Amino acid sequence: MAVEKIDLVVEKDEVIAILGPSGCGKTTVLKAILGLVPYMGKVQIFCEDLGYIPQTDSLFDWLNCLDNVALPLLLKGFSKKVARQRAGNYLEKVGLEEWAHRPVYQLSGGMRQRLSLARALVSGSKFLLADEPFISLDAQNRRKLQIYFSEFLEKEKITTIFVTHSVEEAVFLADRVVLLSSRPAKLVQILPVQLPKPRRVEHLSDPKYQTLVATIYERIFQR
Amino acid sequence: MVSQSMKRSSIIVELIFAVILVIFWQLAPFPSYILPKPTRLVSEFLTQRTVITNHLKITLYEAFTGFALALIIGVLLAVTMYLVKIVARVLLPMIVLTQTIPITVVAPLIVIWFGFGIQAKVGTVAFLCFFPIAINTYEGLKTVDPQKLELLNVYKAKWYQKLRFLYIPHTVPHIFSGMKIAVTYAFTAAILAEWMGAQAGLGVYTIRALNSFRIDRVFVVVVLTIIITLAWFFLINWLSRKIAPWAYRGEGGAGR
Repeated sequence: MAVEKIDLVVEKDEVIAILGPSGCGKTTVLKAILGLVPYMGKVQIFCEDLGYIPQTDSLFDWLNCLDNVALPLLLKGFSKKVARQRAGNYLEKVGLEEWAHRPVYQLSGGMRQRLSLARALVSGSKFLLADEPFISLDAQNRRKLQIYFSEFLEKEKITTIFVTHSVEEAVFLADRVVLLSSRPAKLVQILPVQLPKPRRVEHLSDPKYQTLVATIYERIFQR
Repeated sequence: MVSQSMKRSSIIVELIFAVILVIFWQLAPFPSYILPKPTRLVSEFLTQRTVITNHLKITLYEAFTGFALALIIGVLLAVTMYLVKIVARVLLPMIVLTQTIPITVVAPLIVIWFGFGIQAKVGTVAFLCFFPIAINTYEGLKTVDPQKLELLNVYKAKWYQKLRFLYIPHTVPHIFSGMKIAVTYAFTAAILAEWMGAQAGLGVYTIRALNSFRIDRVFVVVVLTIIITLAWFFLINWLSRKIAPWAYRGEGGAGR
């Protein structure tokens, strides 16, 4: 068993960070929600579509950027024309409209993640599950993209659960941080983050941010 | 753009090298019964043009048909091995085994079993060419990214959608790699099969040339074989770039 009991109610428009050490079973929690792994207990979802950003961005090299975003719609049986039109709208939302007909392997790491985000949400999903969405980026680009995500999720009213092993990332982005122990993952504590959204660079120097980060590190090393 | 002009200049270098090689060959002081000169080969080819073309047509037909057959067999074998694990365990050693038998033994056996007709030649070509195609395709299928498959499962993709969006585009470059290796044997294998006994074909022509000590005609066949195999190889290479450009993403582009 990878994960022990976890009780969690996610509110609408809330951003939840699942924080735990590498290999503790964070990804398993996401996969259980997505129905990809067997689990005991109950997952109730009150919205139609789930958007998913897998750990490696899993973009398809043989499709151009537009068709990568359109893929979930094509799989659902939408016509190419409708799928591409909607995908075009989402490409615009993530600022990649100029790349529509370019191959994905020409994108930078941050652009790939934005494309991944567009694909996850293209079917009109308001509920996003993301597995370490910033892991492949260098520190500067990661911060840049975190700020971008925060703003985007706030503007589009997207409820989000994302998985991370970084305390700073969890606190910086989330409304609540779900702290898990090492394998088998147990719920240690749920910590609310009282910072306004969307998050900006100045929040990094906010004492609330810094205290919470320190508190979480203390909790981790106590154990 | 840089890579384009570099590519062009590398082609020029290759051409210059080839020309130098031919000049050396032409100037080399060997008697014509040991190493006939290129000019001699050209004139011999021109005088023998109709005879050679007739033989060539047959050999080309055998090589192409055998190659096509190898492609079908190779891909089918790979798919079967991928789908049924037990088949892979039984079949993979058998496939390797077929390639350990010397072709000089296989070719006459095929003649004994299937006669002197054209099918036997096609069979020999296919026998040699299916191997790299089967192995490469199988490896390709095995390296399908599980994360991408998972993503398709999240979106409840049907089996044919998985085929269309994942398995086929992922595997096609691997099939082409197999074909690029196979193509270097195809034409030679057809000639070799004819060597073991046939009514017509470049193999038969070569035997006759050897028997009458016409080394120049043997060399004409050698040069023809090189030209045809090279042309065929580059055709497949070109097709592969047209059909599966994503397999060449390392070359040019902005990069990650």
